[in-house]
Amino acid sequence: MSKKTLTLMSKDKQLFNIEEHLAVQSVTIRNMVKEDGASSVIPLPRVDSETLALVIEYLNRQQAPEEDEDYVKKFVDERGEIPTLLELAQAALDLDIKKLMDAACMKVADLIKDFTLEEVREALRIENDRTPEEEKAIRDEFQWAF
Amino acid sequence: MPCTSKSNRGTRNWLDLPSDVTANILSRLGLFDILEIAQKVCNAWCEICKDPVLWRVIHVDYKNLSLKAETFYKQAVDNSQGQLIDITIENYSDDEFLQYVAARSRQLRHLRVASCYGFSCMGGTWIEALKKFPVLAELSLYSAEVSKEFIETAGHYCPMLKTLKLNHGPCPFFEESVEDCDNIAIAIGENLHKLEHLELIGSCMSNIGLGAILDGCDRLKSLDLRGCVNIDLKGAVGKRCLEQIKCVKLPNESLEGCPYIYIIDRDAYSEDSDDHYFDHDDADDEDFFDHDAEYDNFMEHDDEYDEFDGYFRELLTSMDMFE
Repeated sequence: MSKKTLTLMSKDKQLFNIEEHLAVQSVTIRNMVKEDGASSVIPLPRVDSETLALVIEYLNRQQAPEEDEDYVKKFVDERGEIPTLLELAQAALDLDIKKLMDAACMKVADLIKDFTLEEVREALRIENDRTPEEEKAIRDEFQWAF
Repeated sequence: MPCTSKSNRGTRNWLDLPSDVTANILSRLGLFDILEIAQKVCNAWCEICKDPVLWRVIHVDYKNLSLKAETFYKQAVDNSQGQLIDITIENYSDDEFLQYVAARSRQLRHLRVASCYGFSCMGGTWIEALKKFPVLAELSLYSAEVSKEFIETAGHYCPMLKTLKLNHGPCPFFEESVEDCDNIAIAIGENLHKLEHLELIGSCMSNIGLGAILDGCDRLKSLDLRGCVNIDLKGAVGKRCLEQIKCVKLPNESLEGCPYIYIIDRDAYSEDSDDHYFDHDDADDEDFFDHDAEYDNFMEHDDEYDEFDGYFRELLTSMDMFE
């Protein structure tokens, strides 16, 4: 008897197959399977193909339970670039894979811990939208820290 | 047409990340990173930084901090809006801050306090604070002096207490007799019946205290007796202890990985223990922990205590905790 396979579709319309018993590590997919059997293609409109390939690789891992924690850590360590990790965290959020989401967020936090304010803005491409008055208000509130 | 995912990433403004992801990341930063970096990045992050979820776990360290730091720590407690569940206070030196936490944190479940100078929980502040933590599950005190009344209060007001740690190094910060320690142990046995995990590292209690704990705390799954030099597990009490409790750490077991075991006064050590210490000076750190068997033999000697000192000191040196 062949194992049941599901098909996931990335936002750039690429299809990925994965065995159902592995895919249901994702709570989102598990709920879909429970509800309607999830026979058709499952679309993931916020996940690009590159990230989905990573998620599939993660779901396909064959680790013994006691080694799983180390594996997850190593898995995110090897993808040490912030944009990749953020895409991965967002995909893990959409698919509700808590372990992967936590590991990716942890790694990002570890990376930005050593950053200056400007470096954080640069790495995440966030514009400073605070007015000088707002900046001053915060400075006044926590004067001792400066 | 949409550009490829790769180039998309390069230009993506990560402000549009789901706030769940951003909050998850920010919650893993330390207090200072949130204060000095995260909340200043932009208005959206500033808003996320006000979420009490980020302030449920607070780690306070008084080392090298000015008085103004206390304002910040109080701010952190305020930001938790009563949802603080886990606080660690290192280099504890200020009862006022404890009062501040106690008045605002009825959901607190984990309280860890450590000080390399030792501190006393005998006073009214601590007794009153315990009364305000009705769901406390873990109380871990390192180098603290506690009283019978303190244990009784915990038993009465913290009915969910499952983990108690009263640990200190081999050289007590307070004058404690065997009788004092036995009385604390007896109070634990009489008042804390729901304990599942108990650590009394460095306690000088005797088998009398241990017996009282075994009588009263029948839910204990783990008991840490490391450094309890007056405990003798060879007799009936020892047998009972090992039968009744699944995981027992023995008095002579290594303290590797044990947090907050402090030694304050290097000069207070005798010549003998210094000699012992330097005997092993040329051993590699890794090597050191292989000496456990040798250490076990030391414990058979009459001058156990000196040897024990040396052991602690080597351990601490190897863990870079000296100075």
